[in-house]
Amino acid sequence: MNSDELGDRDDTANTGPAEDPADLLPLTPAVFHILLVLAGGERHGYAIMREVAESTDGQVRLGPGTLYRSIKQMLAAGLIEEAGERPDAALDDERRRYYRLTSFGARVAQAEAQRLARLVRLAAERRLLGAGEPGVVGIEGGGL
Amino acid sequence: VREKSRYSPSVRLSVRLYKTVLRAYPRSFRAAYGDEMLRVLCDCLRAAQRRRGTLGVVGLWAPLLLDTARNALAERAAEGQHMPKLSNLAWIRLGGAAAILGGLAQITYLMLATAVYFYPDWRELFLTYLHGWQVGPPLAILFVLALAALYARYTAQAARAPANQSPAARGLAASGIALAGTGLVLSTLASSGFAWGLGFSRICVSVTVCNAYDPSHVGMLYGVLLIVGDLLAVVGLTLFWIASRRTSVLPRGNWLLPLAGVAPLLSPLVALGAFSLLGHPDWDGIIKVQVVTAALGVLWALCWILIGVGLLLAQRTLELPRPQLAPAP
Repeated sequence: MNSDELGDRDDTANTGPAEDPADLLPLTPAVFHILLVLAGGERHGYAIMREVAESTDGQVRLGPGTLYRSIKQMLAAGLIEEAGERPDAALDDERRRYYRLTSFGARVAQAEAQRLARLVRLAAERRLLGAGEPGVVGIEGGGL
Repeated sequence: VREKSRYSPSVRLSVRLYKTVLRAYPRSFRAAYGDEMLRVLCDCLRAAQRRRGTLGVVGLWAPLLLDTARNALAERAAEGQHMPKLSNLAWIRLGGAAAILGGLAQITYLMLATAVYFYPDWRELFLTYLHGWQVGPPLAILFVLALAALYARYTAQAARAPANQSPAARGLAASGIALAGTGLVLSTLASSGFAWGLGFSRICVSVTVCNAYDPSHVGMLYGVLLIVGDLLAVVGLTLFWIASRRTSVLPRGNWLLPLAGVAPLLSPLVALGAFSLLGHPDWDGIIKVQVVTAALGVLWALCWILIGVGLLLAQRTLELPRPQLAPAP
């Protein structure tokens, strides 16, 4: 659980939801990963944690503290909302709290993805990405 | 989260422990997310149990403690809270438990680190879940808590017997604790720099110093930091022991504190001596020395467990009302 710290974006928790997605950028890795998972639909805490680990080949593992601090701040910033409680049939009969992306959260995730894409393009221009890999050639050619 | 009977004992125990650990978070955060966090942890523990058995469950604890330390502090800071004001007795209880937990964790870790030599299949698991950097920082936190408890016990005992108290003794005790804390943190973190963590690191240090295993500058730096840290701990714990005897905090003949300081230094000394005799070590030689150094590490851990037990017993005594002194004639 070498959780990427959510970032001390506590200003969002204290001042209420932001108006412009750009106000919240850059997102911390934990928040961005959670947004990416929730872009696929409603999830409960453990499902978020598991999908983040799977999608990063285990490189990012969120601990319970990082996960729920992130969720708390994302709720306060209006990026996500609760979607009620229900059991997950695949796990057991315990009721779990589900979360889903808000439209504002989706816009913030999109803005962050575009920001990262610009960074990747810049890295490719500076020849920081390994040459000779098929995908990288495409990026160097402006294929993103 | 209901602790169902189908959960293994290690999962049930971990859930119970995590309930206690959750108290590090602010009350409002616990009220909002405590149950969810417990349920998520329970899911993680069950998954780890299915994949790796009890070892997998144990392996979750080091990153879990780090996760808690970082996020609980950040959450308290965000809510404008400082650490709760703890009484001396609360510090003594907390530090006593930390010393016992640290000692037990260290013994478990050393046994696993040694077992890896005999069961190579465990190597990947060990390096994934119990890498030095995952174990060292939580252990350093436990040591610091234990030292804070020792100082709290000292001040509580001194307050009950003002006649035995002097500013010089108090200064000596505080300096000793500060030195020991610095030394223990330094040596524990330096130990963590080695891939094999605390158990193996002392051999690495010794061999590095002999320039026979890893002549890299980084290895040498870790080695020097480790030995400097150990020396600081010896000096600090001995100073505190002297101050404590003056205040009758420790019973006469209690050599646990100096021993807890000296014990970690024995491992590199033994390893150095062994390698001086063995010359360039082969794998079998390293394994033999590892077993000896692990045994010395267990001795060190036992000292901390006994110190922790002493703290927990002492806080019971300190809870009793102060003896009323007869008025001077």
